Amino acid sequence: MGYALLRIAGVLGLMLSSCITAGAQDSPTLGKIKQSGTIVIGHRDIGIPFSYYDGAHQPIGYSIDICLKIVDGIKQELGVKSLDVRFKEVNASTRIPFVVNGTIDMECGSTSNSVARDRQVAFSLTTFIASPRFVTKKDAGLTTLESLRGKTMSAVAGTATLRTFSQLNSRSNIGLTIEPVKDHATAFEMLDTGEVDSYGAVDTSAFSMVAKSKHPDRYFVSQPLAVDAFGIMFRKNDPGLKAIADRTIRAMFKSGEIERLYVKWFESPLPRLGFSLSMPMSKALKHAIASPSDSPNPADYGG
Amino acid sequence: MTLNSWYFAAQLAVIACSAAVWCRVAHGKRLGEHFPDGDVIPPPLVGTIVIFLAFFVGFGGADMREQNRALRHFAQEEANQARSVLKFAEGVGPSADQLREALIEYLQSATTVERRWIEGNSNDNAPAQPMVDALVLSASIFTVQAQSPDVIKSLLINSVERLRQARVSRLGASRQFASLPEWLAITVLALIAQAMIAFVLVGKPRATTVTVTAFTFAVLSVYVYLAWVDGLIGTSKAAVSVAPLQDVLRTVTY
Repeated sequence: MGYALLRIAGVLGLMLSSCITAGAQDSPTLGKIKQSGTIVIGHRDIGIPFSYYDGAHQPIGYSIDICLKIVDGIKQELGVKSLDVRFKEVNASTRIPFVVNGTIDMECGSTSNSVARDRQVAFSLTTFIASPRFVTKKDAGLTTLESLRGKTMSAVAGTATLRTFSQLNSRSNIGLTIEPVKDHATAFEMLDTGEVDSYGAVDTSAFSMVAKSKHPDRYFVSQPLAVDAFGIMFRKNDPGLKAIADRTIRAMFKSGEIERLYVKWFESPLPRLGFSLSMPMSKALKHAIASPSDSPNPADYGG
Repeated sequence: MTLNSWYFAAQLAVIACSAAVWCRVAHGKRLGEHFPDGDVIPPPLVGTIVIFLAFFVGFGGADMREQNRALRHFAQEEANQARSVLKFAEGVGPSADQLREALIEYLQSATTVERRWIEGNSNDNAPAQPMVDALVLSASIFTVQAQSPDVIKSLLINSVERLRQARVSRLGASRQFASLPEWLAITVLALIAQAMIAFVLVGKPRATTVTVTAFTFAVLSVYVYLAWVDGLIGTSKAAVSVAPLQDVLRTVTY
């Protein structure tokens, strides 16, 4: 009897170790990380509150916290005590190329999962649900998409928001002139100085830019115009890394850790910046936490 | 430093005022007192100054026309390459979506924010540069990932590279204006010529008025022509620079 139990335990042990090896073998990224002892995380400079710099110029944020948890999962998977975590700044235009060409191993910012992007890169389970909105000056009286007819809008190049507004503009024949710029600070400044009539961004960026401005009460933030699912981005055809990322995120959903992270980054004063976004968790995100999914389809989030 | 509308208007005003002053002086007696009979400036001197002025204007105008021709050529070349990349991306389908989007964003930026940057003659970095960098990155990623034959990938990369080169040349040409010292030199020559006409025709107030007025009218006409060639009035260089790209953007559908 004792011998039989020992044999079963031995077989189970072998199966477990082969599973771990298979995980590493299924993942070129894990192989690379194991060999170099280094993992490179792509982050944004002012992707508030997902990924931005703290006072010591270190990347912090909601997505960074999730990614550091995934790094712990990778360490466990590889059986190593420590990994050298390196950060590499990316922007909206470079994030996908950098993932594809191997400059970074995962991107931890505010990247939305879409069918088009799915053809080039892979996404973890959805970690946040965002909605594109536009910001205008209250005295301009521009409160609906229709009211932007013939007006101008600044938006950050390479973002899903810009694409959403381009599509809405084209489909509804609004005649909105969209002006892509390199970052949110430039885009908002253009609205502030009157260079454009509106600024298009996802709700987190829209609210944070307004909150950071000198006169937040002078701006109007529109209703949500669509639904975007954010996730951690990594190379395609890397099932090993995706399995670890999904497992880690699922555990965070189950343990309630994600709610604590949400309160820290969306409902409390932000580190270094001092202001709070005061954004209660949306129904769509609650749905995504209750029924984890990596789908790019808005309908899968009750939207 | 280049000429702007204010400097241009100021120079026209100075030349017109100078003409009025010399006509008035010619009708007075004080100028004649300084040039007694026989002690006058020889008429050929006026001719010499006017020839200098004509040379200056002629060569300057030719330079400006050449720059404009080059600007139109570079803008058209860039638009042609953009059209090729767009057609290629649309032909390939979803796997070239990112490339197509990067190109559209570049065109949107080049025809809006960057147009104002050209108009403002700013020394900051070109606003659409990050978008063209992203386009090059997207093209290189596409060639790594796509299953298309090598010859197609090579054509695509060539088109993107030629677009980039045409953009650099277009921006250079669209920011070449006649400098303020060049315009000032023409103004000074015009003012000297007006004075010389008045001195040559001392004691002949009507002839002075007619000659100075005719000369001033000719100089102002030349000024307006040069300003038109230099894009200061009429269609601006910035508008010429982005017009072909706007045409490409109009053909884009979502």
